[in-house]
Amino acid sequence: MGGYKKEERQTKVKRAIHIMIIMSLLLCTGCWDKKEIEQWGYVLGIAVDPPTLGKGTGSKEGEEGAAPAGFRQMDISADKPTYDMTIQLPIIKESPSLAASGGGGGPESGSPSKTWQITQTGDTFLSMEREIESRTSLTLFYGHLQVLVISDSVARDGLDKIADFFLRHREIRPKVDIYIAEGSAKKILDVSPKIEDHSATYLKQLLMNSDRSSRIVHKADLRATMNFIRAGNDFVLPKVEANKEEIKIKGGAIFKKAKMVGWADEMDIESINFIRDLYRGGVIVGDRPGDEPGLISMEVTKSKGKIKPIITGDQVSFDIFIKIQGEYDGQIGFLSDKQADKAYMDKCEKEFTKVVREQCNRTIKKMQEEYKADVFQLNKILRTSKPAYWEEIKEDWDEIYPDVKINLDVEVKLKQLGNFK
Amino acid sequence: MKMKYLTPSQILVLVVSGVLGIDIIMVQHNIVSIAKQDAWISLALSGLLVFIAAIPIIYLMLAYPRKDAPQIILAVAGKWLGRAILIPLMVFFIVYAGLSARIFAQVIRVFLLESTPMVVTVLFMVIVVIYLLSKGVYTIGAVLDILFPLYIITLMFLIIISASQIDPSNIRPILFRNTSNTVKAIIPGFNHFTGYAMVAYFMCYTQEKKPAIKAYILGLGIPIFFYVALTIICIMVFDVGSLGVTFYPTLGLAKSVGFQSGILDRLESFMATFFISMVFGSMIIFTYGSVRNITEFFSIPPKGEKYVIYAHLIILPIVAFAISKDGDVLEFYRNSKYIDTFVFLIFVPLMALWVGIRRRKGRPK
Repeated sequence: MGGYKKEERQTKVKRAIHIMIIMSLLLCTGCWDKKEIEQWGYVLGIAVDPPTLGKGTGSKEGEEGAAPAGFRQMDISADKPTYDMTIQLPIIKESPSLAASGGGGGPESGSPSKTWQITQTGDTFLSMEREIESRTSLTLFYGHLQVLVISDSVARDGLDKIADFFLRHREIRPKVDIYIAEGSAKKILDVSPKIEDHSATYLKQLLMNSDRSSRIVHKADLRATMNFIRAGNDFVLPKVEANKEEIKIKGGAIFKKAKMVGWADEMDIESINFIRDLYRGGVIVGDRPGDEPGLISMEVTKSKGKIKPIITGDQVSFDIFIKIQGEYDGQIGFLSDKQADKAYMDKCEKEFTKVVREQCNRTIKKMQEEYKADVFQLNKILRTSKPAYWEEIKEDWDEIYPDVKINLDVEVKLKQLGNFK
Repeated sequence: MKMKYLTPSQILVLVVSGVLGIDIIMVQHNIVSIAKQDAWISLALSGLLVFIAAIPIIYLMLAYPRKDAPQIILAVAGKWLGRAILIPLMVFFIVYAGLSARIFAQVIRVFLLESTPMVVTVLFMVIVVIYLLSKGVYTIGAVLDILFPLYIITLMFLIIISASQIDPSNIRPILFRNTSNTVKAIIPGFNHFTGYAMVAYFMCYTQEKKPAIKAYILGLGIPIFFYVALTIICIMVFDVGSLGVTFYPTLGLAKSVGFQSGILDRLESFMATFFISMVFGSMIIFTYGSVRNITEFFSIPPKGEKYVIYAHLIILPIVAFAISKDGDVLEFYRNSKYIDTFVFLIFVPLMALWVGIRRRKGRPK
């Protein structure tokens, strides 16, 4: 009998402990981070410019949009402000009425803007971010950040000086794309696109077309850029230009280590993509074979670039092989007239080969002589495939690179003809 | 009454869960810091060492089929020496489980819940662990059996989808003037496999030893595969320079994956599901080990074991918050593993040797 009572008491104690454990779980529901969706300010784009205001001057009133200069100015610890940080927030609450009023947006088109660009002048990005939060009713959230646009004057000073905030930030993801703007970076975010709602998402989508246009730098995210900088490689990032409604990726910015040293045109970017095996798709245009005037074009369906270092004695040279396959795409200036026989196609292949070779050679010369920037990352190829040699010359690579001999071997094959002969 | 036993597949799950734990998100940073782009070779060699280190454990488990680790230690080394060996194990298991909860909370704060106090995350984890422990070994086996496919599939998924971002040249040159660093990283790499010996706490609950041993060996291969594969992928994606400054590369990898489709836009939150269940699994196993060590050390009768379990409700949070700085926690966690490595690489083989010699002399115990 006593044993039964003891057992019953033990069961009760056990049950009480279990109830206590379950009750304590109710206190641990993790609601500290709860915030309603409309209370978040989803930052879609960030632009970084040199500071437009001096410490405590409060000058240039009203220059940047609606916010008076005094709003943009903050008390800082440093001697002078270092950067202007502009963030783009979508105006989510206004979206239904905007949808009813049709596309466009922005003050110029008469309809209310779908985004709010807030600029802050300050010393560190974190302090600027917090200062912006004193100007909005929203809590900023960077988890959906799409693009980071940097002014060329900031880029020339060195990306490594500004990168830490974006890398360290718990919400910003490494896949955020980086763009370089000539002059103001903010003006890129100020664009009111025709189709997209926000200039940041519009800009992000542009890189998606790199499989259609080879003149776009597509390996441009934060992770890849930081890998290049940490490894001491030279690289290119996309250059963007804008008018009121449109943004265009127009060539690239050339970086030597972390500092921007100049601009590459669209043809240079195409050549770099060919050589570095980053070519996703595009068009090659050449002169019509023979003496008659006209242009011919091919759509590239496959491209393979390979770089092979050759060491002779203590000298290094590089053999670059580019193999291109594609489809005869058409012509300008004359009509198809059963000319697409084997001989004609051979001549076209030779013409396209010549075009690619000349274009790539021009870019190689420009990068070696004008900018001395190893954007083909020959140093990485040497480091990984000829490590012993690299160890000997790595300190002198910057002096060696401009004079290094690069042999180019291009092969173009027209595999398909399309519908017409 | 029908006896309950752990199945070989549950042994496999316990082995994998015991090894992976919090280390799966940190292993690349720690080993790349030493062996650079050859870190994966160091980890593969550490894995080989794990298989070798498992031999004396298997021998002792077969020699004492109905005893668990602390009972075997006391039986082989005797009352006093056995207890002396149990002391570092007792300390390490508590430190491991407590700091796992702390690092888990740190990571959750960085990647998911910025404002939630760490003490809440730790308490939540500890309460669930203690509850499951109070239900016994078979419930632990069954629950981990359910969680196991979740994190294995998620890890495989992460490896596959990361393949689109790799730059294979990042892993070269292989072993070029880096052999000594690669060798130096073997023991730190081995430390990340802490938990490979935890099977000794559960093997006594199996009926058939042979299939259970096979499951143990297979189970050791799974974390070795994931450590090596994830390290190769991380080196190829991040390069050595970036990995050297990234504390939690596996979650960074999940953050780096870019998808256009909205559902996978924030993959790191999805990856948290595997990470939470993995830490949960290893915490349960080590806390169970700690309970068993304390019970045997103080010769507490089976009826009193539940009080030892409940005591961990207080002990683990105290350990978790004994160190205030996040960086110091990571360093202490890393260094504490040498205790486990020392016991299982030095004392356990010696005990196996001693048992072997005694058996050869015809005086088996």
